[in-house]
Amino acid sequence: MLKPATSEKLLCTVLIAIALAVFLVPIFIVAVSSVKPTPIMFQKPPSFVFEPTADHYINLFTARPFAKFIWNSLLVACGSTAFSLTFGTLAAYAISRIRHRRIKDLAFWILSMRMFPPIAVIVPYYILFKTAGILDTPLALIIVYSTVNIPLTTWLMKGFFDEVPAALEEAAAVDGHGLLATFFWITLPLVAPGLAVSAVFCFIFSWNEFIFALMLTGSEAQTATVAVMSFWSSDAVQWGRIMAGSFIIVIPGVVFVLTCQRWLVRGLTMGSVR
Amino acid sequence: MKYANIALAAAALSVAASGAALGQKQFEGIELKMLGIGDTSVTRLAPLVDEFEELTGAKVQIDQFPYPGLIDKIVIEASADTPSYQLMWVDSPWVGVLGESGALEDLTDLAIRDAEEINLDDIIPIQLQENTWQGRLLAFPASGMIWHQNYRKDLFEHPDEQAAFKAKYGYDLEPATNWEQYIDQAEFFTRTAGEVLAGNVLEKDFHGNAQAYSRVAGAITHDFFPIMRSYGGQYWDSETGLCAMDREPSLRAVDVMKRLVQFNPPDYLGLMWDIRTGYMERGETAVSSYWSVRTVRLTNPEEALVAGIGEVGYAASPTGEDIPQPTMTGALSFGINSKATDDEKEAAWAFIKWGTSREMMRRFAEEGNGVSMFHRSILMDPDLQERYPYYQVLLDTQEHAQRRIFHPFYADVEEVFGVALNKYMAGEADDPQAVLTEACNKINTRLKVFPVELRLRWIADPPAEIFSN
Amino acid sequence: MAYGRTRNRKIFLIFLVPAIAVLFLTTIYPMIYAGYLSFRSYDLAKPFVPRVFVGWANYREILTSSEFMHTLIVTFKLMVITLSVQLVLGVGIGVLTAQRLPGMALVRTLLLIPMMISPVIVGLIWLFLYFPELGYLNYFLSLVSISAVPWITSTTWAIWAIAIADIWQWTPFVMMGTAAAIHSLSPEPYEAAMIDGNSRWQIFWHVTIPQIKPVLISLMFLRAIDAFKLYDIIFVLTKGGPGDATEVLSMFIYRQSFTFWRMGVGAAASFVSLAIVVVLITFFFKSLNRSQERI
Repeated sequence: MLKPATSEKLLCTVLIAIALAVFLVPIFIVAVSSVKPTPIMFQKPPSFVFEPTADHYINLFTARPFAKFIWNSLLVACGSTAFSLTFGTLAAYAISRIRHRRIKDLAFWILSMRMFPPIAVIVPYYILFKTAGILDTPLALIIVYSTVNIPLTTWLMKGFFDEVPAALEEAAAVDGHGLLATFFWITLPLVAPGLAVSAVFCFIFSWNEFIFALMLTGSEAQTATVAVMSFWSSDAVQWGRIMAGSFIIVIPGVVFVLTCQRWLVRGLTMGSVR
Repeated sequence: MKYANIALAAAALSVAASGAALGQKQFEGIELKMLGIGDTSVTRLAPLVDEFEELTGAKVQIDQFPYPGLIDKIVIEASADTPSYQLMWVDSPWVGVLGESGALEDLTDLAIRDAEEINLDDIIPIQLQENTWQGRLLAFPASGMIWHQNYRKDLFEHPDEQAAFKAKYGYDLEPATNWEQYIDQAEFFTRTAGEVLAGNVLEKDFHGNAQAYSRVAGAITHDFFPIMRSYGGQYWDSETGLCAMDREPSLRAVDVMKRLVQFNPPDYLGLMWDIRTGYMERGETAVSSYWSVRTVRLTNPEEALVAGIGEVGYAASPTGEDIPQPTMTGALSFGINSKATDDEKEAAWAFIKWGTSREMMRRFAEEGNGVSMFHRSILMDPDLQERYPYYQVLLDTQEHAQRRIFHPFYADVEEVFGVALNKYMAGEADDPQAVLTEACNKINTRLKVFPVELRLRWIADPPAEIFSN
Repeated sequence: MAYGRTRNRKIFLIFLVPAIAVLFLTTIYPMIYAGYLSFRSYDLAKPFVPRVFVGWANYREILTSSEFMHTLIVTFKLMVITLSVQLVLGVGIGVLTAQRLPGMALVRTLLLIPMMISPVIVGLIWLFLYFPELGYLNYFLSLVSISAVPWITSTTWAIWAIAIADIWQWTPFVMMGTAAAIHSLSPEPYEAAMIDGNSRWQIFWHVTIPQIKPVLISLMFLRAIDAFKLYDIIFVLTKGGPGDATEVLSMFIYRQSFTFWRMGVGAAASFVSLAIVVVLITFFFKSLNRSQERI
């Protein structure tokens, strides 16, 4: 590991401070704006000293059931993450282990699902879910997000499975473990960091997605992102509420990433994903 | 039978309103959902839906979505065989596309039937016309608006400013009646920090004017069209039904907007609806014209600093060369999904009647949500006029008004002209004629597929049939 | 060998089949539908527009349209700008924050926040910052005597404004990956390099970078795919403007599919876009892999 010389420590600290400033000042401004009274929301120069108001936060939760929308977001994000992790991992393991010349094509087909622009499939999904009667349910969004997240998980996890030595599994097989037992007790624990990485990526995508969430939900399954955007109406953009909402919906995401971070560090590096 | 039901519903409404309860509720068990938005026309009503349930038994849920993307969502919903939403929030320019595709229920017969109950005579006719397609009423106004000018009355009435203006331009400083005056005033009031405005030294720049030049959400076209129309311009050619927005009036409107640029804030290309109105609301511009949905804020110190700084005056939109031109109207309305069941439609209509009734509107006005009224008696009410000083302008201008664009290809027009105008205002294109012609050609390419009879029908605006009775 | 074959089949049945089935079931209908649409004239909003089979007309229209070419150029421009800056900045900050110092874990966590905000909302936040007169950014610049920049209201600056918002959101992604990669490196190569008397820069360039390269490649790969689909930020910040300065591929598809309701053209453009991404990405990463093997 690189051990920085004492003389360089200062420089490092300064650079890190700059990085923190650049990346956090916008967040700080969001926080400030979320307690700023509406009449002075836009001003030249922007005001930083004013009497803070909790109106925007109160409105956020009273004008609309915002807590429910956050819950929906969580449900969708966690649901899609779990779903994608399950099936993506299965596919990745198979692709990593099966020796067949066409397996690469299959892997590529899976990955290409993620590359398709989402806008063209909104209407077909709408029709599909309407027919199935699951429009405006978290399930609909979980399914759609999984079509983007399964390819990602597959692709990431394949790298991790490739790194698990075949000898390990063979030894387990010799010991009389079946295929599934080997997978669950030997292989899977070894790729746990990979699962963490995939989980974080899936979660971030599902948490942040907007256009599907807008088109495929009503107020039952509306996600927090759409709810925040809905303060952009025909007669006004209610910046205060948008800022308050933005500030709040950052929190669960950060908590989730923090929870996974323990494994994240190893996960990002273990599979030299290619 | 239907008539009896409605009579009963009407009775139920009036009886329940006076506090008495009725054993059997008319729409018990019916659930209605509205595909709505988060603007005042909806948010002032949304907290009250329980009262409607109490009256009629019908449960109403209003879903609120962002304006960008809302029409897309409505169209997708309308294309489905079984509706998720029985009620739809409709911006009046969408009436064409929704009407021609049959997405909205025809309310003409219902409105005639219940004319008395809904005080049809009291509603300003243009607000109903605004919601018609081929003469049939497809949505009912929940908020009626006009495009008008706001000016700083305190500055306009300041003796120093009046004298200086007269000396410079040779005529009195009064609300502009034509665009040349409007431009003069914008120029006159454009001051930099350190200069004097109405006796005070300015701490920061003051802008003569703020109009919308942004492409976001089509904002630039929303200001361009009223100016074009005030020069007597038309959207469509009356012989071919093709784009006519590349002619003299459009060129003059483009010219007006281009000349106003230098008196606008430096970020003029980013001025979309509320960023533009914000300049007026903070008292940082002298004149600004926009839709009356935001006007209500100007008298409210909670929402607009200008209420504490000076006073805003209201006037009709300027015109070309003092030739009176109709004011442009718009409406934010409620419609019924044509695919809803008959019972749902009846309940939805009852909800619309209740939510847009004169009593409800008066209640909103008294509670402070008096934006964009459309009943004459409310706009004429002296108490309310005092509270909402722009009511008189709304009242006067709507007597001689013309509706907004309502063509089925409205979205194309907004998008194509948004890009074209924005490009020109940004200085990316030099020849306004070429810009407008190219935009028109793009729209015509799509329109020429259709026979001329159809195109002419789309631009026809027969008087609403509800007036014929 | 027999063992291998039955094992293959077992894995195939137990692992691959369910995953493929799920993916197939959830994507097959929309994909076929989109494919079908791409050969038709189909207007969802206006049923009176003839809905007919048009053959390759939609594809022909797209591939010969200067508007589409313009959106492609803008998309690539944005992609090159955002990816390269994210890579450099992300690695830089990643290296800095990977140091095992007290408080560094907190710094890394704080830096992750931008990633957790939905792109549409990132767009709104930057809208707030960008307004030349009212925005915070120009205010901060004025504090250090830099004159106002017309961020989103100038045709030359707008693309940079979009890029900055995207860079702000996704640099933490690269940073997170870099820091994690560095943490897992084994110390031996460093000790050897130190003994050889290399400078810190040389060590970074010749020891660290090659080791974390695979991680960087995969991070860039993900960013490249998403950069091609970039849409939300633009939708809010400029909607493709001023003029057509920030018209990207996704905006083109959105406008054709929804605003104009030419769903056939929109679907065809989506497939063209898919083809471009697939070709480019395979080409780019194949050559990258090859150059890596040579090292």
